[in-house]
Amino acid sequence: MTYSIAIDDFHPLDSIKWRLLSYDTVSIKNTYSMKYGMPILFGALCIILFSACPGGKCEHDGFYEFNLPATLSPALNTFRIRDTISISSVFPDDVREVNSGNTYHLEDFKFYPGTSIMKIDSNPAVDGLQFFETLIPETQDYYLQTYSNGDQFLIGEYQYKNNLYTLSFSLIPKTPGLYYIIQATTLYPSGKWQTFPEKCPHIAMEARVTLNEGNDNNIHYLSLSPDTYYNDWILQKPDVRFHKGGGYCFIVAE
Amino acid sequence: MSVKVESERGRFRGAVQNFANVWEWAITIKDNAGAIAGSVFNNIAINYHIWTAQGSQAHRFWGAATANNALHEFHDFAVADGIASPPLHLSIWLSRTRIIGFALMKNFLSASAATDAILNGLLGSAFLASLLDLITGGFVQSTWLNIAAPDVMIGTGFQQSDQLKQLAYHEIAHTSHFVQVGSLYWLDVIEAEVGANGWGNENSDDAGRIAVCESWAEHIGMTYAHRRYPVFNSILLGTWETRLEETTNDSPNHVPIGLHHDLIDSGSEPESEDIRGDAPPSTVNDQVSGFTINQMFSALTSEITTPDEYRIRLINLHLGSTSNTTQQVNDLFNSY
Repeated sequence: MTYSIAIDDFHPLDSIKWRLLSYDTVSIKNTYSMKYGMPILFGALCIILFSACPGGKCEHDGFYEFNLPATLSPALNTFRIRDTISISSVFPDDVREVNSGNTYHLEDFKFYPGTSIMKIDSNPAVDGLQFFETLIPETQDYYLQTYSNGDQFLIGEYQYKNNLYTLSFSLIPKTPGLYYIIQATTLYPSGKWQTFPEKCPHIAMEARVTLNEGNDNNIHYLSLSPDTYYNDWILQKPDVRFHKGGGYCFIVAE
Repeated sequence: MSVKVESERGRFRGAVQNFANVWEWAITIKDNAGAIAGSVFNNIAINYHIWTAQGSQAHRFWGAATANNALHEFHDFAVADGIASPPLHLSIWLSRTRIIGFALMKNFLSASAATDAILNGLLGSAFLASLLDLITGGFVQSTWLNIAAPDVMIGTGFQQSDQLKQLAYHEIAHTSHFVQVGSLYWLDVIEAEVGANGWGNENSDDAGRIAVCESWAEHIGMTYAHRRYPVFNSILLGTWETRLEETTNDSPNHVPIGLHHDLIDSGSEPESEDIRGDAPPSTVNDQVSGFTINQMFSALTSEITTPDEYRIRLINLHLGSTSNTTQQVNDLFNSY
């Protein structure tokens, strides 16, 4: 006896829910209709095909997730208009990988840092970079990028010199409000396929930014936002949706 | 009750571990989900949560469920965009370790033709050809293609739905393109990509064909990922659309990934760069907007084997229905 089912996302990013609707088959009894001949033949062929392969094994569960430290200072709950908020990220090229706990020597790796600020006291939240003056040293490859839909981020690359990766800049708030800053780093685009000597093949790489040594960074302010993306969705998985991207919330007062 | 990941649109295979469960390589993924009682069966919910151990059954089922979703969503998106739906009865292999895929379309080509295309491609790589012949012999390769090779392979080594979906949409976009261009064209795609050991570069044999096919699939992959996950996605900074806008070519002058989106969009043009290569970010000359996915796809017929032929076809077929000039389209293509 078979029914048709569809698969719906139970949640957009972490699990899948099946329910009876219109696709695919569910057998309402365990059935053992597997034909044994093909798997046996196939298995034999696989042994022939792969028996000459080298036996070297490279194991790494999940992605490589490199941990990049950063600091937002002063780490206040509330800033005043015309205060200076400094962001810096300086770390040696021996970089810790979170999932294995190993440290890898990543020489002149392409890490792409980026900064987004959202003003989250309205629904929907609005792009917040326009409410800040940015002060970026000339030595830094970091600039304002505007996309076709109007989104704006600061993006660029870390400066790599004397075995150190360096990024530093400052923000000066101009307008009161509740803000959420993201100080993330990606390997996309041209860092996507880069490699390092110990890298297992076919394993993807990511970066996480640990801001202020992993403090809570006022994450509770997200609940003050009327926008459900901030007051609900991010808070469901705070590590991957807030802390991994170097999240920090603050208020700007007059 | 068991859940079998199979429909008229496609069936999914994939194994856990390495050779310990080798029979799983050949059979459709099935989860014996437990016993149920009663006479009415509606809305039976089974959740497949994200995996923690790579190669586990949890990983296998999550990958199958997510890729299956992608296949059904692609059918819906294809209808909405007016592009060819993927062929029915796709055989899809899910790899637990990979983050790449391919669309061999084996069941829609003869196995001997597919073998020939692969071997012809390998002729460009004498060492590999010799090695494969030494290890397996042509007979085994042909037999393997006959009984086991899938139409599509999708790597499921991701830990976020939108990332796996982007790859799945990319590979399924190839199957949709295959419906339009046919078997002979696709054999040339296989030969070119095997010979180039992937996407190759601007000097690879038949590089234009690779550029057309892969840029289109990547455009569709990222566009559909953005459509499905416009806000709630795993990209910490931006969206799949902004990521597409940040991309020029795969490698210098080869596989113009951002081109198709630039034919559609208007507004500010951000800096973009090649995925492989050392060229610094730059801004393409994009004064073009208003082309549609339907128009672009309709131009990608079997006669189109280079981006330049694509440009001419687009101008001839669809420029008149937009507000763009020939010069603007030429300038955009020349930026890539």
